[in-house]
Amino acid sequence: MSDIQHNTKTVAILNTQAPFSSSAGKEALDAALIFGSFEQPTSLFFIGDGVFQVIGDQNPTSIESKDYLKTFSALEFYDIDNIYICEQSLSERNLTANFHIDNVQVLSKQAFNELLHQHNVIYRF
Amino acid sequence: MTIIYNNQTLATDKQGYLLDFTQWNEDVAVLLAESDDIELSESHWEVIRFVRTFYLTYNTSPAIRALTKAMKAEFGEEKASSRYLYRLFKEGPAKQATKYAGLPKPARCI
Amino acid sequence: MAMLHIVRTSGFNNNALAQCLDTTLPHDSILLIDDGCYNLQHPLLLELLLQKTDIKCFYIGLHATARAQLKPADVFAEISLDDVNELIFTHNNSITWS
Repeated sequence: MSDIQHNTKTVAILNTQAPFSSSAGKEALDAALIFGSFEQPTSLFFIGDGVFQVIGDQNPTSIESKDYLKTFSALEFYDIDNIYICEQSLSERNLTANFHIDNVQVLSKQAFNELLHQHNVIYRF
Repeated sequence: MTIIYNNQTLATDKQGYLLDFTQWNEDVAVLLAESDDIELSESHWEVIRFVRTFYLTYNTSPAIRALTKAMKAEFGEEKASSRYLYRLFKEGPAKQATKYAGLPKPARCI
Repeated sequence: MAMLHIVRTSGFNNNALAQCLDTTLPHDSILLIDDGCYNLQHPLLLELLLQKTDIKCFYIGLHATARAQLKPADVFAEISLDDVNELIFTHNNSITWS
């Protein structure tokens, strides 16, 4: 048996960029789905412009972008239930807690940072 | 590569997945399965339609784990086991059902 | 859980440094490599290090001198690339701000 089978390392994916002008958000989500497929415990974090990925009422197809945002709603089938959003990043951008995915948790900067620190491996996108 | 449907040429990738998922209908599914020598039963159809709906809802083809978890909610435990699905689609349920549903191959998936 | 923040870009050009500083907790460390060495003069970083003395900041000497970043303030500790491995193993996890 390889070590990988006993590997229970937790993965944090930190999203820091807005959804459409770069492929960072899509790539982060693809990475999350792959980790999920291999039963690696994975959490998603959104900070800075990354919070623009999760706000509601977006319309990517109107600007000819593939709507990868719809895929966020499939995360539950990949056992990814921990989705954390930085409250300060929302308020800095004058955003309300209106999201296109359901089970997200809005956290204070302190709580957000403490949770992030608890993960074994952190990828920033 | 291509397949011929109704005197129309439909483009596919090397492994036979449709390049344009909007060109799909259930007759095309039969053709895609025939090219793998598979006759589609009602059990196959259940999965193919489910995968198609999943893609239209979430804009992604489900990997096997996600497929079984999502099917469990819809059809119950028995039909959502990977053993059942592998019996239907021997080359890998997500891979194969996705192909006959006219969708892109799921990323890094069996 | 002490985290090692590896900063590889200049905070004068993008907000990776600011975001990094925003995510630090007490006992974390910051490592400046490549263009991250330009942050040796960044007021946000200097301010944070003066305020939070339990956060250490390292930089790769070679990368700094190559960029004419000479005589950094006393709050910074110079290390070599060979020392990076040890830093990684003395922290619980790491994050790269590139």
